Amino acid sequence: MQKSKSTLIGNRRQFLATAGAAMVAAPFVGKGTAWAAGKTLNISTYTSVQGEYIAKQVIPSFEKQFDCKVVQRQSTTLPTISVLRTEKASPTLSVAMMDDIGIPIAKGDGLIAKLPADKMPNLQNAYSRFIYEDGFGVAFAVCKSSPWYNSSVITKPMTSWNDLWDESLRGRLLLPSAKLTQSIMLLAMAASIATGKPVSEAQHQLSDGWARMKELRPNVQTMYEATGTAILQVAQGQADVAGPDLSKSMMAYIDRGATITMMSPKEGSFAGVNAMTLTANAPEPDLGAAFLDKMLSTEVQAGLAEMTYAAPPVRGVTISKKVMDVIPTSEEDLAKLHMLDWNIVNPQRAEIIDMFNQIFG
Amino acid sequence: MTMNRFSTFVFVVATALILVFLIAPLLVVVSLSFSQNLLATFPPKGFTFDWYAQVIAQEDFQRSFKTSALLAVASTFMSLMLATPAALALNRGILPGAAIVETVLLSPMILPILIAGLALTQFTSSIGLHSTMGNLFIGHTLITLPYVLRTVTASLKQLDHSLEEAASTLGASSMTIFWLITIPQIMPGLVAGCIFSFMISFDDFSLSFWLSNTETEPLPVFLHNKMASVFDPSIATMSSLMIAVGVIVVLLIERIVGLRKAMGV
Repeated sequence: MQKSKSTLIGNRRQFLATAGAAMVAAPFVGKGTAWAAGKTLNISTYTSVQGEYIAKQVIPSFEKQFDCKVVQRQSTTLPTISVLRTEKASPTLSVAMMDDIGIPIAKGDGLIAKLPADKMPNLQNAYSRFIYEDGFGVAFAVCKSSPWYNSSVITKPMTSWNDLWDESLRGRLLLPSAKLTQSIMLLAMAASIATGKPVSEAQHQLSDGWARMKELRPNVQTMYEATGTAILQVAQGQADVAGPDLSKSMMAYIDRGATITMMSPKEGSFAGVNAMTLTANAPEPDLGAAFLDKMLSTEVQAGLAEMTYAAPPVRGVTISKKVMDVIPTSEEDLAKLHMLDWNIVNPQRAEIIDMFNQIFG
Repeated sequence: MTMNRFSTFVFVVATALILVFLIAPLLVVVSLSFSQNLLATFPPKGFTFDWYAQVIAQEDFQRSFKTSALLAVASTFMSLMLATPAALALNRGILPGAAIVETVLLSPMILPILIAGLALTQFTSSIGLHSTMGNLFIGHTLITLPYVLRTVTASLKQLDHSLEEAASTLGASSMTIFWLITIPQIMPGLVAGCIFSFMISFDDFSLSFWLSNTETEPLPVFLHNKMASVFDPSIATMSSLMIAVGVIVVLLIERIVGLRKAMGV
């Protein structure tokens, strides 16, 4: 009974929020789409399954809806920021997708603009936890990030981050390169294990994790930059364990029969957040906002989740059990994923890369 | 005599080992392209042409292949048009500051291409040049030109100037001398430059990464993006097709001019 009441309240709140958003957006939406006809929108997206989904599903539908042309570049966070920097005076991109780690950097450099909530009615549905830097970026997919292992070799399920330090894994562990964001997650977990504090607190004292990281050295076979090749190495038995890395990278391989299992550690997994931004002085700010809004729509979010095994950071999206078995999808469960404060981590990044290279290089 | 036999044996074994070292990785890639596995795991299992059928039928792949081929031919042609007169001018010693000009023209060989690509992105953006194919063409010409310049310059150093002088004395015009005397003598350099230029352009990832988009996407960038999704034997198939292009170019050169001649050996 209580549950149905809360559902009712939830529904009512959701209705009010949606209605409010619709009203706020009315002037923009009321213009129809004729204003966009014949325009060209340049966007930078991720590569991989996400990039493919956007290319094959989202863009054709958006072009049809707005009678416009969308030109897509597939890239990753740092190259995208580099392009935004080089084109700062005369940007070609209107939309840039990047990890949450990149948003404070892009905002600090004046490369991105505040998202226009009045032109993005679906922004109201995004969980507030996944709106960044006072509305300069919003997540569109949240992956689980944890280590993975060859389940035909390691038959007893690995349940803790501490298992990575196990003596039985001497020379059998692949770590993500220091250049990859996932390496910071491992360091944060090492700091958490070393200090006994939760990750949210331990991230303020990352340097306390180095002693524990040094203890990991005998287990490390090598560091990888391409997740795909690391997955194949583990699947082929050249290594037993690897990561942490993102669920969106793993699942395509698992679906094709790779005998790898993503760990669900008792200490928790990290959130790998894919976000999107509107560039500062965007050539097509309104069309860019419309595209971002489309990305947050329940229809796109549901398709994206099914295709990439990433949780939608917006309300009201129906997800299959298959996806829910891999990643948490409710707001409460997503809140349990560890999220690092990049404003704390980013200033230390160069130093962290140096230390990683000193220990594992 | 025994010593000679021993040296020959060492030479043959060393050459064979070097060949294995160079070719083995390519053979692994090619073998994976026939695998029945759903993932590009080694050793391959079974034998199938399905990946080839699948890849060749893929519209995205066809588009990228055509983009790369067109870009390689166009940039090679432009490099030839620019580098040949440049090499002649530099070689004849009629250009003031020739050493500086030569260094500038060869500089794309020294600079990291990734950085050159980013710089070019900034340049094209600042002058409002937004044609993706146009920008790729400029970029590829920039990185292939030094190769043609180097090989043509090397050929010009072996040029027998007395033949040109004789032709001139007999009343031949400059253009006639150029076409009938100079070009045939530097042909190996021109051909070698074209081979290098074509292959550098066709295989380029570093520069194309910055300048392309999904509509105009050279093959190496397409391959890179595909690998980010899932590393299945279709990636090995595309790589094998790229290797095949390289082999075909070399065989054509051997057939048309002869490799030794083309390389100026």
